[in-house]
Amino acid sequence: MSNNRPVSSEAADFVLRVLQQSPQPLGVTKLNKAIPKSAPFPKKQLPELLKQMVKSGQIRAHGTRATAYWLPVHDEQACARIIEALGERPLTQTELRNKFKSLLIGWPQTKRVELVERLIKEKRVYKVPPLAGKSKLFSIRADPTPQDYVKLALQSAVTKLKPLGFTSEHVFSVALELLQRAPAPVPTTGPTSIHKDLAQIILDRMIRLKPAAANGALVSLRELRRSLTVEISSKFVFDQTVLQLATSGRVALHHHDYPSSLSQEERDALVLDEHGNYYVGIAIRESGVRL
Amino acid sequence: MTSLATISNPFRSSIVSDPWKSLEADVPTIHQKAFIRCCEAIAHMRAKHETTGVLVHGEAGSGKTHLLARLHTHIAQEAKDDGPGGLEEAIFISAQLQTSAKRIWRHLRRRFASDLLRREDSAISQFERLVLHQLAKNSLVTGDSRSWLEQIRKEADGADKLRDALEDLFNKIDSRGQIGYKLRQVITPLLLKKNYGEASAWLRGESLPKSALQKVGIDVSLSDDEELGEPEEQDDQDSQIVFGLCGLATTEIPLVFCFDQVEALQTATGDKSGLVAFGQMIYDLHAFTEHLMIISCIQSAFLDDLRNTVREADFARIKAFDEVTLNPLTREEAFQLAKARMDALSELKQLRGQQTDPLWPLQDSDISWAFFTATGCTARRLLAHCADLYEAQRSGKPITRPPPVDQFLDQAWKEHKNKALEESEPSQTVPIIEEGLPLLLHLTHPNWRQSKQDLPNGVDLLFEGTSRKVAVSICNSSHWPSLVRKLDRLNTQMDNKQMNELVLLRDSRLPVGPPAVKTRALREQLIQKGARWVEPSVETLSVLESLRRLLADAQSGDLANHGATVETKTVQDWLAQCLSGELKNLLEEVLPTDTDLLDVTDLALYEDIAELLQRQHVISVAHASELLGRENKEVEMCVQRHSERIGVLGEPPAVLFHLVSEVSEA
Repeated sequence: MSNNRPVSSEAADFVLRVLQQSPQPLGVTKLNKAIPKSAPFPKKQLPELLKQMVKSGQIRAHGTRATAYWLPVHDEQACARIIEALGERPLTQTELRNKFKSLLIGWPQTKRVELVERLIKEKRVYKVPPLAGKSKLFSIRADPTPQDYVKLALQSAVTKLKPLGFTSEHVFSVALELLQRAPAPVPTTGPTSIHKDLAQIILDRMIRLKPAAANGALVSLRELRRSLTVEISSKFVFDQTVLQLATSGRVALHHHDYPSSLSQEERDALVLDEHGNYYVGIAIRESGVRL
Repeated sequence: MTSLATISNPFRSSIVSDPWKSLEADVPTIHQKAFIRCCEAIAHMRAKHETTGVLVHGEAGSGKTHLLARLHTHIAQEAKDDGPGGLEEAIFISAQLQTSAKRIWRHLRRRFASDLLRREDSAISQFERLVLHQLAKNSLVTGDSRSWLEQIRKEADGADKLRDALEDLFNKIDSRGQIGYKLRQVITPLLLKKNYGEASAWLRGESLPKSALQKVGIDVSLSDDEELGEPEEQDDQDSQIVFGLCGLATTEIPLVFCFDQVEALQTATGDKSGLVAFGQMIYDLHAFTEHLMIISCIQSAFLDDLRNTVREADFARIKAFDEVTLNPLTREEAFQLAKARMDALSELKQLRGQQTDPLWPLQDSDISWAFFTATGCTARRLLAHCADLYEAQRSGKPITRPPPVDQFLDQAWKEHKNKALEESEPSQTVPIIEEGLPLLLHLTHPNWRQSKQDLPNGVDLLFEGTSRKVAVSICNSSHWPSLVRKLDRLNTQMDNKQMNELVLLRDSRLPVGPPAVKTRALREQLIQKGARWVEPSVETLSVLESLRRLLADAQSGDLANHGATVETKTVQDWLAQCLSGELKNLLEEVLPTDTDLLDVTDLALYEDIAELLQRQHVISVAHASELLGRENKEVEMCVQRHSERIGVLGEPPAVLFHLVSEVSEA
């Protein structure tokens, strides 16, 4: 932790606000563009200001030439995304690296590696034996479950059969037949519709928990999360779905003014956005107003 | 010529802190649904003759108090529009719940009485309107009831006529005996405006001496229960007055109770007994009244706490009619609000009329900066943001940064302190000490805890440290028989282990004068047995009150630095760091490191002098000594020891004067 005093100025506030509003790290050029022209400081001072803010620990940076800047809270969010990516099944290094392209947009490659190493050190991610070959896999469990390996085997079959003209749907379908179970429905929906389903699940559950929610009554996010542990077990997915519902204007979220008065466990039960705001309640907006 | 530079900032007063204040600008479409539900609840209560409730929740600064103010305006306007013979204006009562579990009924009684007796534009108070309506409804007054009352006030036998009319009224409307004897007695002087000060003080629940009680028609020989030692019994008495006043309401003129800042009941020490007491109070109000609509406002963040703390049956009554949510503003609502604020100033509206941009002199992109999050922005944050933007436009200077939180708290502290000094009166000393002292101890002595179980009779507060227990008894009564009973109870229990240290606290403005012989004797006995007599000064009480209010404001989310809510923890840390000299002294007196016994003789003389100065504000030492039958030297030495409470001129002291607190410049 840095011993330098935080930079306290209007210019620093502008920088913090722009970084808060960005879902990804920003370089100097993008920062410059995002700061409004009316901002009361000369922009040529920006590099020096950023340097001081990095020194004081207010913001983080990586890279020498094309330096990227972000807020400390983004580190934890990036870690959460990595853990989320590994939640489905263990991944090889290449698979994880490919996922980073969409998960950690704007993060320097070396910083991505650092984040994974940090997670391994903190025992939040483990290196586990592979199904075949020598390269270890990354997993969120120290001892992968049989399901993890079955999923890996299926994925491996999909990859190996692809050059022969078999699609993943074929592979899964055959696998199901072999297991003498009813044929699996061919997955036709992409990630967007999956998210849409989750959003609907959340809206439906709100009304089931509290019928008045249909008329805009506030529902506790703690209760909502608790009641959906089976349907949406991942905190990250739940939080993201709730936040996207809010962005689309279908719901309003009520934030907590004093999150520091809560224990970590209590905070975890709330919804956290990328700016570090914690939300306690959710209400259906009357006409789905766009914000 | 009018220019932007000459027009005041329309966004500066961002917070509606009192629902009685008229609204500067209102956008009816904002929180419209919640408002309509509140109106429907009033209509439902009028139609069904049953008390009901609406629970309103929203983020800090979302506009809960604004909603109450809109409702207040609407109730008055609706009756005005309806005209004579139409809908009557409901009685509006507003109470911010900056109180404790123990005093919740007393607090409601005080707020209820104050708002009932309030006179706004109209010369008639809500109380007068209510009673006159009842008299007319029951055909006890014919014609214009206001003129009848004016006439009664002028007639020599007016008091008798009024008493007879009221007796007939109570026989008709109060078959269950809900309106108690004392309340019935006090209604006459309140309507006649004779001994009005004493009668209104009694209605508010203030401690009154025998002579004042006699003036308002309360038989002092029956007043053995005027101030009860047991908090439960005191609670009963206060709740009976509230129910009695509620008994005057009718379908035509019902009551609307607005409980704001419910979260302030959950004190900064984490005590939830206030919320429990609130739930029980709402339950009782439902059980014993028929024409009451209760609106309870709470921050969304505390909604779970309320639901999980109060009994299920109580929570069901709190939201008996509905539960409404005040959502953060959407961008469109934010623009509407900004426009409404600017158009509320006629000069600015005129200037704006010449522009094409509907948001001029602001820009929608700048306003949008207030939307930090995807989910919207509270009205308070938006207004603070717009205030800065407007100022920058007006002055041509860049937006100034909000002051650092220390500076903001320092300013807020000074404002609270000045307000507390201005409003300071002995009748408020009990709640200030009962609620302020535990907060002060929590800040400064984290190892001490307040015990609320098995308090010895006569003890109001009990604090337990690792090796000590300190019992505090607040002896502030102006009614000597009540105080004698309290001291007597304490005297018989001095051997109780809970009482190994006893502190007797009394407001320094209420000296125990020579006529209170029994009180003095009992006090001396207690002091001889080791009790400490502490008389906090007006300044001390004012800073303790500031501490209480500042923390309550923080707890209820009403402490905002440029629209950003300041956390309770931040305020606690700041208070602990910047503890004022007065509070340090009070702590030293309540929890002394050196527990020397007080000189009882000196105390009695000091009080004799203090009482004398309340009657004669300036007096020479020689004259005072003569009146008190003491040597000049004795008086001189005594006033020197109490120089912080007695004004002294000359060296050695020659003239004494009554000290009056000065309000400092904020």
